[in-house]
Amino acid sequence: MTEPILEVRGLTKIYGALRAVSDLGFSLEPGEILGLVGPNGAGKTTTLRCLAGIIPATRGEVRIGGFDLFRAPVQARQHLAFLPDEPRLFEYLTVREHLNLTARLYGVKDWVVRAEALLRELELLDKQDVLPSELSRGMKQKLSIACGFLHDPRLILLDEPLTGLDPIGIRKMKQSLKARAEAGAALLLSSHLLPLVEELCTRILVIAGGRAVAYGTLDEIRSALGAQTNGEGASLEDLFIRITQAAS
Amino acid sequence: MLSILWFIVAASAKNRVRAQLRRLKQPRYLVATIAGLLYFWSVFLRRLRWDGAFGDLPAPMRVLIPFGAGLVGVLLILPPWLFPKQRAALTFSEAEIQLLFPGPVSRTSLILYKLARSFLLIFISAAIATLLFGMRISGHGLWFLVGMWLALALLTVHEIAASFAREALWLRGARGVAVLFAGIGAVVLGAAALVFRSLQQLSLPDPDTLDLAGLAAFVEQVERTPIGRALLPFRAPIEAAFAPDWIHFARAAALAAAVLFALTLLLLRSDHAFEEASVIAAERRARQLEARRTGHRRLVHSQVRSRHLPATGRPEWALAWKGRIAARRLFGPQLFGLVIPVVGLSGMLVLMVRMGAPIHTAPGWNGALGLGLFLSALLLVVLGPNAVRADLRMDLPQMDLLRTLPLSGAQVVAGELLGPLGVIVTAQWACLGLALVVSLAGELPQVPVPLRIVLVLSAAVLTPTLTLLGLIVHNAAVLLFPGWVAVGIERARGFEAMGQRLLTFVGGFVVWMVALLPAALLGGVALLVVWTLAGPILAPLAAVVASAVLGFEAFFAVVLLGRRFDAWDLTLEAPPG
Repeated sequence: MTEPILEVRGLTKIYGALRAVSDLGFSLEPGEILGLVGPNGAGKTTTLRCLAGIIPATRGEVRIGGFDLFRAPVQARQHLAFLPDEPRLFEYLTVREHLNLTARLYGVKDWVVRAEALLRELELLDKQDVLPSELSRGMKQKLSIACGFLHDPRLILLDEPLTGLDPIGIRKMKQSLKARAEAGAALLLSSHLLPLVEELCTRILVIAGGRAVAYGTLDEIRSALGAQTNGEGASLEDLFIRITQAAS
Repeated sequence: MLSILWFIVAASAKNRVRAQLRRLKQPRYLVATIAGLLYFWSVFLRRLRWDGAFGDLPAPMRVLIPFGAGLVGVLLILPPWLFPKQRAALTFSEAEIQLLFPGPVSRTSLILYKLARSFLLIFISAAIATLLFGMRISGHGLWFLVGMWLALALLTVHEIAASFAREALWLRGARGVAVLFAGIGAVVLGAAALVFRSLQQLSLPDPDTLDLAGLAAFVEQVERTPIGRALLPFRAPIEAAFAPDWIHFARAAALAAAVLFALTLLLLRSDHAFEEASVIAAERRARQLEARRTGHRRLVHSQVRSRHLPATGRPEWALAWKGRIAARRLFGPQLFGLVIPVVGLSGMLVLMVRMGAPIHTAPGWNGALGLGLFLSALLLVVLGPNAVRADLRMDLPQMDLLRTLPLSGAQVVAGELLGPLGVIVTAQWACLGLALVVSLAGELPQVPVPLRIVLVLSAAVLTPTLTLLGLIVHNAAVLLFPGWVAVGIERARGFEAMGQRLLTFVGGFVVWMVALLPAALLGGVALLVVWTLAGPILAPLAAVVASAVLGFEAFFAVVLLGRRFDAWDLTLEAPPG
């Protein structure tokens, strides 16, 4: 059995009186794409931010590539890329400088070759000396993706990764995500675009009110739900509505 | 429309107060608010006079102040006409553009809405001015309040009207611009003719015997001339504020109100350039807000080229490299701007010394310039970290990104500090190097050449660690009290903000002093030893000792701040996204 790239046990995040994430547990093996879905306020973004090390968890354990995220964060983050829905960029660095910065941070020796390939793939080759303020929303998203992919991360966390991309960009992004999974990366994808999740993900985790309410492949969820509510053959959208309504 | 205005204003105020009250549950914000209230009380409220002994303004001043205000008013109405590229006066927020522009709201209603909002804010400003000094100097608080409100409202409405008229004329192309300048020319010529006619009617007072009462009498004489009468609308609001009785107040206030009404009517009827003026301004405002969200408010000079960063090596240098680029692109001109006035002031200082000193002890011009550059390097220790904010102060809004980097907290803090440090120290060393070269070529009789070299070397050794200490103090404030740093769209206001600034300043000063103490002690001992052994020539060694102590302190501070960075829970500082 392959060693999981991401292991989450008992992940809990509490804001004052609000329990945003409660006792979440799952794992991700190389080549897997896990879809994280749930209604607004379910705790998806909080979960992703905890897994990326942006905010500390109140309780629980997260291991990335065998390293405890809270005890050995530097080693754990070395294997990680986090692509938020709103691209986070330094407004004073050009496209190429962003990639140069990322290369040094992750020690990517052949970054020039990799950066050129990524920029070509993402159609940013002619924007290398441009500042983020001169890029469109979609282009900023592409730059954020290029920075995230530059060091070939073993775990990629994506929060609504297609926001701002044009149809061609969306198609290329989907192909790229599949290719990375085939190459051995594990992906955790949070999105409200259920057809995208259905198309890409090998397993799905549905959360509501910070708790996992369904977990498994689409067929597993279907059959588990079908036993109770005739869910056979239903789309993820149908299942999502039934699951979340039942949870609320 | 007024109900919408009231709703927006009331809801915004209520929510702001509610958020501030919620923050008071955290002790540091409570302390800041108490400090702010105490400061406000000690500076303003304590000095208020409630005994009714108002109106201690000398009688001649009641004539001179409105006249002077009228002249100032003339000066203030000129720029919106003379400088056509100035900002548009009517600006809408992003939310207003999004919600109100596409809504079933007429253009007139939108202008009225903005005017009403401006008038309300002006009223608050006028009320504060009345409370703080108006009641005391005017003698009648209500009249002062009305007068001040009318004056500020007139300026505001005029600025908006001028911006509309200007935009409308500019949109007409060369012909419109010609009309604009012809109009300005006609007004200037008309004013000149009035001044000429008025001068013929005036008997100028004898400057040798002129006192305050004589000047007031002369001004009264001017007020009766054509130019004085032309100035009447400009001085009317302030005349109302300082009116000696009800009749004068009513007459002046009615005139000012009539002018305000006429201008407002003109504004509401103008159908040109409203969209252009307001949308352009809104876009500019959106860019400013975006810049504020991303942590910096200046233009990025992308033409500043960067050097290629090798992909291997210590990763924190990547942040230092990033910071250096940011410092050069965002703050480079500012740093340069800091040096020039310091050199200039030093030059003036030396000039004054030179004028007062015997010629054989006075410094030559080269020496003076060298001294100015030397002082600039030292002053940059304090001013540099204040001006070059290309560190955590700028990157706080990008904390999500920083937290995902494969770096420890100490590495992030160190990397963030090294960028601006490099830029400031480069400027300091350039100043010191130039100071030495220039002073060697010139005369500085009281500072022999060997001493100049010793001083420059000592300063070169000390400035990096001293500057680093300053940067640490500023960045510690960001990590320890992030709510007090002005980033993001929700900026601290009111008493809390006042207290925060006060406490941050005092806290920074105390930390600075405490950190300097060990370095000063050990450096002082070292200086004593080397001075006794070899005289001043080895003084830079003492600077090395002091700098090493500061370096150790900085190292431990970075480690501690790194721990704080690692343990930092963003959600405790801001609501979850």
